Amino acid sequence: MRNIFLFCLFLQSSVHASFLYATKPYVQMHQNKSRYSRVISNFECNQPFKLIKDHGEYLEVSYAAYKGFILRELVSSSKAKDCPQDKYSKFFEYLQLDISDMHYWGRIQDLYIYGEVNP
Amino acid sequence: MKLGIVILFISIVVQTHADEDKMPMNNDFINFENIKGVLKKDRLEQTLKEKREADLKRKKAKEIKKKKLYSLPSRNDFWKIMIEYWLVKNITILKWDFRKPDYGVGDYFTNFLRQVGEIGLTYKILYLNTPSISHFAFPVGHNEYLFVLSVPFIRSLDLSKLEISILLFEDMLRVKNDYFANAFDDKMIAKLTEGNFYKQEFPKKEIAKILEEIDKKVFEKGFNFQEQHQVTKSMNNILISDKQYWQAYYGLLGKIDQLVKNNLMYKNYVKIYPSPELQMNWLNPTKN
Repeated sequence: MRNIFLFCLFLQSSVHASFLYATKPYVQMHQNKSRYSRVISNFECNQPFKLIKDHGEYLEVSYAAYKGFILRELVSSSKAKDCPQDKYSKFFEYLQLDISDMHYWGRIQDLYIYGEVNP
Repeated sequence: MKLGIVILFISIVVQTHADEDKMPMNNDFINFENIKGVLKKDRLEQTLKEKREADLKRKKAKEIKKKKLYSLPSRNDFWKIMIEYWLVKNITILKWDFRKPDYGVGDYFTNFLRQVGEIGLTYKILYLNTPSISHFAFPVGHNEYLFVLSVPFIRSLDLSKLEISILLFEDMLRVKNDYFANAFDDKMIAKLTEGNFYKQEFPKKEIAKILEEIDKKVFEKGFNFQEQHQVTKSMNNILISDKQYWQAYYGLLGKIDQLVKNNLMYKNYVKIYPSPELQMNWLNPTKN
């Protein structure tokens, strides 16, 4: 009986766990719901995150020991097809980005104002 | 007795060698030519051939996969990567990492674009905390635009949301007319796009050259009179149906003209966008 209960709990948690993927070359996870809050870590395109809670403009996510907030525009529920690291892996690799470049490439994604004009 | 055993042994050895000499060269058991038929019957040869072909196919597929890793970006993706790379590399000059003001431009600009019939596009706006670039638009993909906009420039002119939108829209027309992309040597761009550099040297020099050329275009060369005339005429044709928009455009050019004539910080503006005064003349309703 106890095993069945535990199995049901596991099933419930796996049904609710949804994953998100970084859609920009680099994205940053923040400590709080602000683009100016402390950066916890910088992640590469298509990095999967577990969605914890939807806060509107920001999404609370986790990856391994990291837990924080990411701008909604920077992630998607499906894998990105246009990550330069995947699509042009050697070309991107040969650009020889250093840590600072990667950080700012992630930082710039936070600071854009994104817009879309749909038909 | 011992002698007898030795003689017997020697005679056995000699006999064995003599037998070997007598052996026929075409021994049925060791000559594979003779068992070829049997092998064929067992499909061993066929299997070997199939295995070799599969191995060749696998090697080819592996090579293609490896080659694909060395693909050069498509033209659209190339600009998307290079422009962001340029922005990242120039952060100290462009000063875009700052607490950006919220002018509420995003939604307003989206509505403005819809009003002027520009639909099915995406854009990004990046504020700069420097007057070294006042405003500029870059192509970053099919129907994708990246705008950079100077906050000191907005403040100096005290621009409204409509004026900012008009300024961005004018920049967008420059991108649509390929004035930015056409400023680069096509041969060099072709070398960096739509191909592969597998087993070739990475075009590092060309990349460095592109970054230099972007610098020149944005900070020194800008756009020529012909391009400016074309853009101004296009703006006139699009905005003339809405009096408020047209007047705002004309007023904006007047504001910029005054700024560049009176503020030394913006003395280079006319090198990039020649010139607000001329643009006003081209638009002048009394001359039309």
